[in-house]
Amino acid sequence: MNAHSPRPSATAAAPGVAPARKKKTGSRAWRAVRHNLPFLIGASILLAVALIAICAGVLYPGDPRDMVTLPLSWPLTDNEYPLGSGSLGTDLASGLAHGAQASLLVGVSAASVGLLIGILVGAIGGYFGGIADDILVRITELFQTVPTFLLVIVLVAISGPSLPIIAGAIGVATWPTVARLVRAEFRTLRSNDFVLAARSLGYSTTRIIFGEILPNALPPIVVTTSVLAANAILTEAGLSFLGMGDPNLVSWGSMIADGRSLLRTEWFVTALPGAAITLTVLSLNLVGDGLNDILNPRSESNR
Amino acid sequence: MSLLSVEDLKVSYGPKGRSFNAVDGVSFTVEKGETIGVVGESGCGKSTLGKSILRLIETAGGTIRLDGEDITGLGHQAMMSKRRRMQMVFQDPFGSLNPRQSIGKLLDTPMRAHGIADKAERQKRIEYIIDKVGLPQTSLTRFPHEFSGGQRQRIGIARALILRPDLLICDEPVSALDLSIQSQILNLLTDLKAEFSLSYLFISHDLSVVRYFADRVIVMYLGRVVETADHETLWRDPRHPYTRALLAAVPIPRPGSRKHDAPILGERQSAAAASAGCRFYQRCPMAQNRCATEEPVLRSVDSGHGAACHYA
Repeated sequence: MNAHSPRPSATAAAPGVAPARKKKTGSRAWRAVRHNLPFLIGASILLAVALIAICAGVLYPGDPRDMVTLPLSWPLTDNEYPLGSGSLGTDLASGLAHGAQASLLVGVSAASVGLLIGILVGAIGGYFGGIADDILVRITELFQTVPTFLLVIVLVAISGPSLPIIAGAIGVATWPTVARLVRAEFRTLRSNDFVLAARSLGYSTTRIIFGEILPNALPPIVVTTSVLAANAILTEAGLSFLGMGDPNLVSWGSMIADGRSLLRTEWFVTALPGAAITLTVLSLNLVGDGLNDILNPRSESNR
Repeated sequence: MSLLSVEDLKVSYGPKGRSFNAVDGVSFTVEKGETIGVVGESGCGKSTLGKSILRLIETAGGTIRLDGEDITGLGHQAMMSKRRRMQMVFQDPFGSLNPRQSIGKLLDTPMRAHGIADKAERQKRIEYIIDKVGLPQTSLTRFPHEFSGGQRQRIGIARALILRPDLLICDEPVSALDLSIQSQILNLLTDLKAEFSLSYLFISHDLSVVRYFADRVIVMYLGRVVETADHETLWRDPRHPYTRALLAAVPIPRPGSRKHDAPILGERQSAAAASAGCRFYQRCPMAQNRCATEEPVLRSVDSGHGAACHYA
């Protein structure tokens, strides 16, 4: 038997793979990002909003609820308060900046809570199947049949309106989306041979779920997360509009509520925070769509 | 003592009451340094057999012994030390490697899971094994999708060998590869066998592959062993009509040389519909009345040659 036959063939095949493909994954992802205009637009808006939110305390050190000038001065009429003032003489620019903080904080933490519960429930149900899966699916459906907004209102009404509670409540109300997605991914992935190989190598169940399967399920989860954050921002705005937001914070929703009765005359009081919400939610959706294309190796923009 | 001995192994699928045995009372042994070929058409239970030996599928009966120790009922922890000693090479080189892990990580994780804490030691082993399977060291930072099928199968073999097992269960390791690549992988397996003093349980539907590779051959039909012999005897003197039909079906690359001396009648029965008599009865060219009622047991027809046929 020719003992050396595999060796030459291997070295002969090697140059085919070797040259200049070391950073392939990185450069390809970067190319996909650069050619994805909606993603770039969304990401820049999001970055700008995040920057404003982070710098809010430095740019506008005072409490945004303080009366600082005459009420209802129109934008671009006062150099000191370029975006005008609210019905109680509050600085709208300061309110928008601090509102960005509240909105993004709620978006990120609600999405994290939803992600955490959703991944746990979906992964366990999808990987193990059987009775555990049946029970978890019923629980997921139970949460899904309750309208999100109603559930959030009830939870906030019980526990009191503070930012962490609101974020937690939104997360608790929205995890079923993630759970269903993760479960579906796990059900497909668990029958792959690489999972069987992991079992035959004696990997623990935890390692198989989080180390082997979850990384393969990540792309759709990442995309959903951005939408989840956008919805959380909308829900928080709705909650604040109804007066159930955190009373110690200015949020975009409470600013809209403030301008509600003035809509026909001083419409800018409503329009400015409204535009901020629209822009932020739109940017999150654009980022989500863009990530979907970038993370999917078979998509058009990846070639 | 045999390295692996399987006695009366049963594996059943399906819900209770309507279940059937995909593997039904299979017994055999694998000695140290031996290569056992398992052949049979698809659905005969040969893959199930391989996976159940590694305890990837629950068994319904029988015992699996590794070096004489019964491993049939062992739990996850107790099984860990056994898993070091037997590993599997999978059929599909595309599905069996985690697409999100670099080759280095693919080879590193098994050792971490088995408590080899020394990073330098792990790295040394990885570099050694990747060289042994004929891949360049630069492969370690790349991902599975950057390799061809044959190269991926080499990676799969490297992963199976990284824990230094004694027994390698190869589940159709070359059937997903091009013919030219098949021989490379078979040569590699032959080299590695000598190098690491391995034993193989080589599962394949391809007789010409098994012929090249196996010391002893087990022929399976519908979950049962119908014939077992060393490979020379089997090819020279097949006793079971099914084995004869299988051998006759191997194409001979010469025009006009096609033989029709052992036809198989009809379609393969479902294992679920197995009746009282011989499982091959309905397709057998030499079936008699006795075959319909009385199931033949595997009996010795020569030294080291067994067949499960009344008329073998």
